[in-house]
Amino acid sequence: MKMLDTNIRDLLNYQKGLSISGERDGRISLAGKIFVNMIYDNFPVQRYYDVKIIVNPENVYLSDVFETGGYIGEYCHKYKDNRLCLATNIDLVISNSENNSLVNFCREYIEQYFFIYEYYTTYGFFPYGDRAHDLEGVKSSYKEITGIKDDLDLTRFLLQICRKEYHYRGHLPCPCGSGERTRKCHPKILKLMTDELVYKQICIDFLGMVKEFDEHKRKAK
Amino acid sequence: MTDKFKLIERQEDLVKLLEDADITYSMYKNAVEKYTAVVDLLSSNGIDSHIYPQGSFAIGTVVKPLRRNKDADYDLDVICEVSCSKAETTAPQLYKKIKDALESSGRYDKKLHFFEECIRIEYADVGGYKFSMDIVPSVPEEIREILKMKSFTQRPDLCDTAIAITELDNDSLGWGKSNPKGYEKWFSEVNERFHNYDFGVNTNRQQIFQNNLTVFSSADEIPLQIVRTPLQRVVQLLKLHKASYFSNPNVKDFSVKSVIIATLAAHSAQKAPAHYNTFELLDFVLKDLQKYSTLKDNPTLFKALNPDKGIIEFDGTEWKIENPSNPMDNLANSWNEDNEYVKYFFMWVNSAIKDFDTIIGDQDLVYGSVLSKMFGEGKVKDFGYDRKYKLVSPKPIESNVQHKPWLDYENA
Repeated sequence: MKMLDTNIRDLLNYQKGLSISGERDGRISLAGKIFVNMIYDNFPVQRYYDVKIIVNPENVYLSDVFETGGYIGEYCHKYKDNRLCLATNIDLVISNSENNSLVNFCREYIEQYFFIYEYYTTYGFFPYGDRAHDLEGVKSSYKEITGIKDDLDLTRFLLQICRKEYHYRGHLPCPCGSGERTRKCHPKILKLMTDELVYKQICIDFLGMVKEFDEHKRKAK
Repeated sequence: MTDKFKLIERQEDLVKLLEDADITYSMYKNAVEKYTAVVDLLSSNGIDSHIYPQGSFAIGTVVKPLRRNKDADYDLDVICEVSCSKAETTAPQLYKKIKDALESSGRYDKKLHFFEECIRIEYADVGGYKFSMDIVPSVPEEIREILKMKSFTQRPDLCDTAIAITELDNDSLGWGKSNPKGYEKWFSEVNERFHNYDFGVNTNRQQIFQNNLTVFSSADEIPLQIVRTPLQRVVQLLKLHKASYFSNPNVKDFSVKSVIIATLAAHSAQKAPAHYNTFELLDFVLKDLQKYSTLKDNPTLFKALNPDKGIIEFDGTEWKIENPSNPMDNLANSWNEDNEYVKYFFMWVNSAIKDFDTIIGDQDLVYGSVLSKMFGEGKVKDFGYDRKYKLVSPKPIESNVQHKPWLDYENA
């Protein structure tokens, strides 16, 4: 895994319009312009955007990114404080587990975010879809990762993943209930479980799903 | 460099690219020679006919296809009006007569392609572009039909040149109505104001003269068909932008027809000051069209607030853009078949406004990117604008890194 200093220097070298602007509560912030240069569906975007990035030292993919130029108006994937909603946390955390590179984070999430914004405002739809808000979006991430379509089956699956006493081994029956061994049925989950940050995020999201399930039960009564 | 100089420079760069995208005098002359040769051939086969261009070639708004599309053809659409009444022949008979004459000559041989409604002749490359001519057989329209058209329009004088063209109707070839000469006449009337007023037209004429010194002894000899006014330039720019916008495979089926662009631009331009240059007129036309976007939400309120706006009509169920030369022809027919046409028309207008606004004050790179989208990366490089506007080739987004944005309301 990359050291934070190296990671930041690599990013500043990649996006030369950025510089270190300060530090607060142990988090370094970067500010300046990033260059987006992408094309998809014959639609190119080539533009500079003003941003601020507050680097998360534990998980760089969970860094806060703000658009500071006032370019993006009202938009369904931007918070009121101009923080950009790049992806679900589980998507970000999984990307971090593959490589914790700020350059890749910038390329795959920040730059792509601006590309998607331009595409959406030009055509009125997202190039490859977006996630539903809140927990529905989170569930859709897990459904894509696991291939499990039903909400209840998904929750049960995640329960098995979260249980500390479930010593997860590939030869055991897959928690999805298929009857197959895990290493044949859901090998990707097996690999992801080895990352502590991914495991932590799965537990957080699982609790969110349980809370929602309880709410529904209460309302049904 | 002040902002004003930058603006002028950017406009000049765009005009240079546009002039390059236009047909040259030699291409124009070449096209005329080609269809004149067809007339002569038909005459030698006993067919008395008159061939004339229709569409963009007729009204002077042709743009060459982008070189990035290898299959792009430079298409010339012509009408072959045969001197014979509708009562004397059927559409299939007329088509066959012309087909047989072209085939028997042996002149076109493998260059001939027969489509259901027209006959295509493919020529050798002209200036690196594949050039083809689509010939639509036709006869003068019946007087009874012309009188019917006249009763529905405020411009009955345009209807006299109406023709009956070969057109597919439920899998069989029949007669359809058309009036390209009437359309050309209408467009020319609107365009005339800009011919008479704009100094840019004279500049354009001088430039053509300079580029063709061996052909013309003075600028006055240059045919009007190749001199461009701000209105024609506006139509060309909008067509180029439209082609770029609808190159997205997800929306290409909902592209705006060129005749709609030319008709709406000309209608809007009738209200614009005659002294407007290309960019002033472009802004005027686009902002005028943008106002119609509220029509779909509340037609009654729109009409009450905009009594002078009637280019695009919507009564709550049907969209209508009347063909000025044929009152029976609703140019917005497809809009009534699928609402996506309406949606993407107005989204395209907004996109055009945003892109053309980059001429004023936006980043060099962004403006350069707009030029690249409309004219192609290769052409922009040929003019050295990639260096001038600091352009780099955009990078494709690969399928394994397509991430979806999301919002967490709890943290909003």
